[in-house]
Amino acid sequence: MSPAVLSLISVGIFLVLVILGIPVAWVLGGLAIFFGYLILGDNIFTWVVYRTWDIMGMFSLMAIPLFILMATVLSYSGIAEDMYNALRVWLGPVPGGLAIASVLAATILAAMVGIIAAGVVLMGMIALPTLRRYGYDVKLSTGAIMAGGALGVLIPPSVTFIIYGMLAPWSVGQLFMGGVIPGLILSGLFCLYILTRTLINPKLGAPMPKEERTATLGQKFVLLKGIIMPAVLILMVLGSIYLGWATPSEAAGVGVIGAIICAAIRGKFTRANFKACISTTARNVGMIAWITFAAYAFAGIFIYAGGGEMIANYLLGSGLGRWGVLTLIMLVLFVLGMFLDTTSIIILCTPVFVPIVTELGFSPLWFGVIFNVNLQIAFLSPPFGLCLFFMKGVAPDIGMGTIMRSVIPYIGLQIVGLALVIAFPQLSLWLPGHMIK
Amino acid sequence: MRSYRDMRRLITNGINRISISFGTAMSFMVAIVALLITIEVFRRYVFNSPTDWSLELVGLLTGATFTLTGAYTLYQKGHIRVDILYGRLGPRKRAIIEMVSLVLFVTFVATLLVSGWDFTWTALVQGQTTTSQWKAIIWPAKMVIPLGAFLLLLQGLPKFLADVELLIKGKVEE
Repeated sequence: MSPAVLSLISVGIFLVLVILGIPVAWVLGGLAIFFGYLILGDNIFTWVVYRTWDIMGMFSLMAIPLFILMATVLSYSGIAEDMYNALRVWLGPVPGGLAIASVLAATILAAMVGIIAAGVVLMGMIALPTLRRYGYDVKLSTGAIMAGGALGVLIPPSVTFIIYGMLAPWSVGQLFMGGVIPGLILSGLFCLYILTRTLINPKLGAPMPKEERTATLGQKFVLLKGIIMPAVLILMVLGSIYLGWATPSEAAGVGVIGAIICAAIRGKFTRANFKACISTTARNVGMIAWITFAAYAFAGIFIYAGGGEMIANYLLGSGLGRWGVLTLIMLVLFVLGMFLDTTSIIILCTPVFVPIVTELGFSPLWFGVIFNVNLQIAFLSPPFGLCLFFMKGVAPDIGMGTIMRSVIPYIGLQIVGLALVIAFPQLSLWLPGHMIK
Repeated sequence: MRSYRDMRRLITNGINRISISFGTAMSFMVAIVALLITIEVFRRYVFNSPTDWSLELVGLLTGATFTLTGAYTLYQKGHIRVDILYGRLGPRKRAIIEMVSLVLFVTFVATLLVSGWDFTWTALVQGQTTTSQWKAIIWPAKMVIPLGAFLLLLQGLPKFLADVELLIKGKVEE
């Protein structure tokens, strides 16, 4: 059996074992050794260590634990509550205003954290009770929170862009900037959708009743200070990357210190919060790191054995044309995204697909952005989309069926967004092109 | 059987404590890395005197946070799995899946332990240093690979004992 065929078989076995419920890291790592042994013999054992050492030394990977810590500290800092409170008072009189405020708060949150769980869980805890108290339609509300939370993948900083950039290879800073406009477009589409629905049918989310709109203009402005800290942090982290003052890893380091200062100012450095931060950070870093090691080893064997080349030859010779091939790749990513975690998808797919899209004359930067929009859709997709389970976790009394149905219109909007980013490459390429090097 | 249960509890508690200490230490390490980076950024822009070693040190410390948190994640059951099928299986079937999982886990992690040790040892006896001006000795940075693998295997032991009990008895006594 040729190594390339062997490598395709390994992918089949991988999918079976993962669906059985074996942790993804051990499936990838174990199979990398088994199949690597068939292809490389005894050399596989040292090869895997070199491979691990290689990825540990990649400079941009450093940003990952930093962004995880920053997200965790911010989750416990109370920043999200303040932000939501300010937005809800300002937007309360608008039809659907409270749901729009959730999307906007999630968008701002996405610009501070790089993992989706944070956005969905935080907004689920903070915004959902308010939305329900004011009689907002449950589906409109949960959908808005999940779609907003998923923006964490696309709006920088984003762990997925860091890993993609490392492997493509492409500047992480440029990828970050490439995600900004598509992320804002999606956020805008969500808000517009909520506004339209509630204008047509005010029962879905009526404006705040008049007697509750007691806040004076002065009070409203005081509330705005809830937006100041996030704004400063975002300007500091993303601004310094855009202006070329700092690499993403450096910006992340400064961002962590900024987040800790924010939490300290707000008096949130309690013993319990501190312990929870330590625990969440260690757990998430260990999870991402070991999946990265294992997936990097597996992908290395797959490419070495010629699996990537085989797929490339097959796709390029299929006569589907460049758009046909791109559509097929998008479909594969979408299906994988429904049940695999993003870290392994990116590590496995980037080295296989980026050479193909480059060969077809597409920009790897542009592809990176649509890759991420696609993963974002996968996050929401029933029946296995991760956001659905995060939502169920914070709102156990809402049925899974309701949660699943609630995302469908938002998925439609994400597909519109994806089509826009594909049709108008400038949406993802313009901002990175204007960065100061 | 009481004595077996006590023994398992003792082993489990002891090993959990080791994983917790390393996990906690590494979370602090991330914060220290952030501080080092911030200081370096300030040195560069405010004092105009960047160091040549800070970035390299940060890289080495980050490597440690990657490998040495794996055991803590295992202790917290944080290694991602697909729950579609697994969540619906009975205890014995889950235990069988855990045994298959164990084979893959040990194959991968033991490789990193054994070969990673050789890798570290070679660096130590050859006195390898980094290529920068700083010329730091490199073996401690490499040693986090076998050490992280060792901690993971160690944390695998209580899990293995619990899974065997699950396989035989269909439940785990706490």
